[in-house]
Amino acid sequence: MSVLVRIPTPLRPLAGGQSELSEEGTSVREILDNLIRRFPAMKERMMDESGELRRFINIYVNEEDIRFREGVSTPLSSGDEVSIIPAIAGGA
Amino acid sequence: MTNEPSTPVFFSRALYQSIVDHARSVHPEECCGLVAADQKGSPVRVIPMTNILHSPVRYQMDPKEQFSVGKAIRLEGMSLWGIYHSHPLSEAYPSVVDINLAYYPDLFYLLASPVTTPPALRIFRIQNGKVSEFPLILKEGD
Repeated sequence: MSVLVRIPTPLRPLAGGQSELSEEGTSVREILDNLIRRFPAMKERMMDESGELRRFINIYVNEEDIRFREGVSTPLSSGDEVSIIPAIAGGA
Repeated sequence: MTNEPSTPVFFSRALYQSIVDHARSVHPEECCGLVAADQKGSPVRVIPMTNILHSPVRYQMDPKEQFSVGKAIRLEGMSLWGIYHSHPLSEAYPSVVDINLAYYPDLFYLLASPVTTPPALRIFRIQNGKVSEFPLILKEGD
């Protein structure tokens, strides 16, 4: 099953310059695994040492933050849009 | 997009004023927001965002707002050009925290200090932990 994945500008160089691509998977976890299999350099940017999604990477399925659904276990339907959005944060 | 630190960045005084006004309106908390560019790559819009930390020393954009504004920018045919925030208590220069959390190496980072006279606005790129400052030239009009 195919979903559209939107790649944020900072990760595009690691994904062949693509801003969006089609990926196969029935959950966010599967999509991420397949994405990293295709573009291994994305792993370090998105996952921490224990293989969990980094705290400052937000993922949306359509209009919804997966943290308010089932996290990376959030199921996907054909035609869903998955957006990867690095947080914007800092401090003095 | 400009890459050499010696290359000046032109920014309208109206956009500068929008950032300063935002910084003052939430002072002493840090403000944060986005700058969108038109199809020519020129900065044309300041979009104030919510600092969900409401802190004088930290900021984090509301992720939901970030998502929806990012989508609106894309649908309008514009692009994300820069990220701004204020340092109410310190110099308008990226802190160690700013550098560590700079996930957007291709965007400009704008730092405002609302308490100086006139209010300071400085512009940087943060790439691989390295800060490069660009000369900022304010121009009249939008």
